[in-house]
Amino acid sequence: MHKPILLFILILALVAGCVRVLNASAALEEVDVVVNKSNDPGPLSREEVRKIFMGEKSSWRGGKRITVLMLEANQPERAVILREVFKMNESDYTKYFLQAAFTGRVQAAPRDLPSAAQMKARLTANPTAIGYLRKEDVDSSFNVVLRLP
Amino acid sequence: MFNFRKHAVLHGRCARRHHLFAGAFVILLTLNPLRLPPIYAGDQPSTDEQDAIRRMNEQIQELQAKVAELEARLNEVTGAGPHGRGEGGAAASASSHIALPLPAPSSADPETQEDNSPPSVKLRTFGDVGYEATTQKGVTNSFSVGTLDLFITGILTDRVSVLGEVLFTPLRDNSFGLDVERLLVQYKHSDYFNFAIGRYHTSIGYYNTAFHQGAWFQTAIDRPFMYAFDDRGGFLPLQEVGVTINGQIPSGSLGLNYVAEMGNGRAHLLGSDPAQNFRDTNNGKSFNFALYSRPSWLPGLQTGFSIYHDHLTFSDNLNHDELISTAYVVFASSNYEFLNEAMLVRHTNSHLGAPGVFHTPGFYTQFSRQFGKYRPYFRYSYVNAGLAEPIYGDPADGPIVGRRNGLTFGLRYDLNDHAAFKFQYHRLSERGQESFNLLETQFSFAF
Repeated sequence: MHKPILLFILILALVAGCVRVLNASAALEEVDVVVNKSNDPGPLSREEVRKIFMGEKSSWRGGKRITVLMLEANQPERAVILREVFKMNESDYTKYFLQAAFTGRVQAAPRDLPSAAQMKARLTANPTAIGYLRKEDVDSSFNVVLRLP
Repeated sequence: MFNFRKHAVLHGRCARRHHLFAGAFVILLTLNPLRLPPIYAGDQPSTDEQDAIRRMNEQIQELQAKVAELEARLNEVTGAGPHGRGEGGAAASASSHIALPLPAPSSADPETQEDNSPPSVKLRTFGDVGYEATTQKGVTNSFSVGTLDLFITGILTDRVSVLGEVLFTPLRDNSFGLDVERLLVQYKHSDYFNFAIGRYHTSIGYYNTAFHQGAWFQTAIDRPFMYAFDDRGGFLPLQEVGVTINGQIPSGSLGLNYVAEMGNGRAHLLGSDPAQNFRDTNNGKSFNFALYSRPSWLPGLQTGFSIYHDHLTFSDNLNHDELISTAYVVFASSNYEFLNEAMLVRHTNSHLGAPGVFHTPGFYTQFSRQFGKYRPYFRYSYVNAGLAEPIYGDPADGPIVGRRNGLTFGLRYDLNDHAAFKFQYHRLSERGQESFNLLETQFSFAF
């Protein structure tokens, strides 16, 4: 008779635990792809963002060159972008841009910035730049073009 | 309400169940902390600390940016000069943008300022060394130095760049030769139109566009027969001097791209340096057109074709038309690589000038799979040039291509993101010659 109750309680506990784990990881991984406030390309699809970050799309609709900004390696936001946009790990990313530069497909890899503060400063200063920030770091200075994950 | 004590007294035989039941509540209350000790007992303080440190760093950098902004404003007031460059300058401009209505993009933007600064040059180096042992008669087992490749890129403006590649290649007489492999001035107008002039790698097929001299890039130690470089018995015009345009074709998820090239074509003799770097032997130019698709619905897939045409004028004043067609389907992702290419070379007129058409087919297939740092691979290559082929069968015009087919098995081990060790077995069969085996090792690097 008590076995179902016991089982129910155990399941409840497990579900509660899993929810807390998921919430904890989700909080770390919510990243927005953003552009300068003066640039309003509208919402972009993941495919469009992937093309921009991989150098396959290099200019905005008006013809202005896109400056792609990345955070340096080992930052959680970068891990989200690599996983969700590039679908690569760090090694693949390094090899991709080395090869793209070697074959002449792209002029240079995206610029790596050491911190989110630098990213914000660059994005605010450059109307043609695209980068990413943690959701809580995004303010009215930026237009969000894609939410991840 | 459920009374544990009374229930336990009245029903002593159920005491064990009660203990279990009570234990379940204890589990409910404690499971999360117990279930999550790595997060809430162990990692949480550490994560908090890291987060706090990170925030502090960011605040420091924000303060630095503000200091830079104040310094810049002070400079403006005192007329001490323009804004400094670098992060401070960028941040100062950033803050100015926040304080004032955002202006239209202008040359005052930091990125543009950087574009107006002296051209930025990047130098990268690729190289390889190795050892090979063979059963081929007359060939000794040897250590060897591969090609040392200095790759230079310079950005002149946001649309114009220069690409240069210089090779130091070991020659058959054990000396080193210097070779300007590529020298290309590129103009990027848009994603749909790019123009370049200079010496480039011809966009014939897939392999020659994806893999160039840096051995580190390619999975195997060497290249398929049909894409061997001229100093390794290659027979296709893989380098050209001329102009090339390329770009995307608006095609939605199909991801179409085009390449069109016009060059001097190759020299009248195969061998030393077939690309005509300074003067063409005839007024006819080579043309190459390639079309390929990279569909967005399957990242890694690429399929396409190329058609190359040239008039060859040889030292004996015999002319031959050359038409090289290739088609390919490749899939390359982080884990898998599956390359399949085929070619058909068509030459007209015999080596004596008599009318005739000669075809040389060839193909290769290559498969590899990544397992952590290891990547085993397999390749089969084939090419068959007839004995009467006017270009590939005439020793006066260069090495005989003949019929070659070979199996390659190998293992690549990536030490890190910049160095790889490869070990491979290769068996080659050639028309009129005894088959032989070849064991090769290679250490290749890129930095």
